[in-house]
Amino acid sequence: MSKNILVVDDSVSIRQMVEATLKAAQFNVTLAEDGQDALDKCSRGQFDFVLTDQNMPRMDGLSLIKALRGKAQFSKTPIVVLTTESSDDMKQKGKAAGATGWMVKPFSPDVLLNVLKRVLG
Amino acid sequence: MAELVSSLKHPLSFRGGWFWLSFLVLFISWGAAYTQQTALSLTILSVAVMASVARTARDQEVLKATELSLAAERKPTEPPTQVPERMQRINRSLSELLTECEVNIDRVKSTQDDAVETLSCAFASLRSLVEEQNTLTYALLKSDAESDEVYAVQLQQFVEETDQTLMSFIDTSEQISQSTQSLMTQVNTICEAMPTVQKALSDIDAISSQTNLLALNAAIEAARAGEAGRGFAVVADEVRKLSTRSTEFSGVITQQMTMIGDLIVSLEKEARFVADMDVSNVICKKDHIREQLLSIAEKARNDMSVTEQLESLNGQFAATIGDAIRGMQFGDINGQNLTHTGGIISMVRDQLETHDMAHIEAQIEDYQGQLVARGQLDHNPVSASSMDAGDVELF
Repeated sequence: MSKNILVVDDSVSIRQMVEATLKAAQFNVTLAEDGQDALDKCSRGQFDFVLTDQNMPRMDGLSLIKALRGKAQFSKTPIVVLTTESSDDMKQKGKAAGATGWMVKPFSPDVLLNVLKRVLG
Repeated sequence: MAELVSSLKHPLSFRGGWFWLSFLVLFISWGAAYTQQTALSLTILSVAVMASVARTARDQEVLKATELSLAAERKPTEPPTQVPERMQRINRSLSELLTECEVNIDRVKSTQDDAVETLSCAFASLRSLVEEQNTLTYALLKSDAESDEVYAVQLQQFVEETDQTLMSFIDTSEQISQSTQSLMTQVNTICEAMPTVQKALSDIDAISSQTNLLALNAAIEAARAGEAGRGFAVVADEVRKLSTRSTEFSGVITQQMTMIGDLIVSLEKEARFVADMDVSNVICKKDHIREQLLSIAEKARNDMSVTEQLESLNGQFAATIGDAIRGMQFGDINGQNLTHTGGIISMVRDQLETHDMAHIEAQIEDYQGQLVARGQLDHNPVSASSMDAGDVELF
């Protein structure tokens, strides 16, 4: 059965390119434009993997991760951050918030698919 | 103190004792005027007016002195030597901020240049791959390397020709079979009749031989009988002639039969010749068909090789499209960088419109503090200066 992926980013172009990459690999993709939108969608459905940006309006990535980790059904869900931030300080904050991994933009489609394969098995 | 200032600003306010004194003087002057003490009332009024004016002037001086005092409390007196130092600090901070703006804009330009180059190479590569794919696809459709004829058309022609040839072959085979059967039946019939005829001839020869012998015996008996047997001798002689002629006829028939036998042999040879001629024609056609089939097999091997090349192209397509996707992300990356840099420039512009240096310095320190608090140690959420894929770390 195809896995369900939630993609969270305030950039339309990033959402489009991630969606195109994942759909070509037969994943089911749901899009959200910021952390709050993502939380709303998580309250209505279950996802096997969450890919989120960090700098977004209304609710940023780290706040979203902390909120999801507080929900029982998302406590073990793989959550990877895809962001322009590359500092070790931000990575440590992400790890402390409960992130599974940290990817720095720009992403390469084959690398993204490889990460999903490693995390989802 | 502020209340005093407020009351002094309004010398005729109800809160001041000076108001009531003024009222008393006016009352007295009115009383004097009422009692027709005009000079007295005018004198009292003049004195009251002059006193009021003097008092007002004095109040204004006190008010001014008080306001200066308050101003001095708000703005502590700064020694003149500290003003250039503050300016230097502000200049340094602004210079650092503008330097960061410069660095950020350089990164934006570098990222954009790299993105444009990446996208240009990707699209050029895509165009080349599409051309190569078209060439290979055309090679699959072509009949051979030299011909422009579409292979499917040639194959169809071959199929139709083969079908007609095979049908013709089948018809010919059937005809040959029928003819041969008929021929052989007739030959067999003839062959079956030959022994009977030969036996009959043999019987005839035997009869002739006996007849001749009887005729000879009859001639001998006739000769023995003398004149009485002369007639009988003639008859015997005729019988012997008949017997001789019968033997001759038998010989003629035997010769004819021999000739017929030779003709049958010749007929068999002819039939075999005809049969051989048709078979060799069919074998020629079969050889032609085999050559065509070998050609088809060769084409199939070539097609497999072309298909492998097409599969390799698919892998190259995927890699090239991946490069294009990576290049297109410059919009988001540079957008964040420009937003951040624009914020710095706006803040600097706002401060330059403010003339209070202490306020400028405080605002700059506060802005830098906010950036540190947000965790942006280098003040910029974007560190990329090219479109190379970013690092990946799994915790």
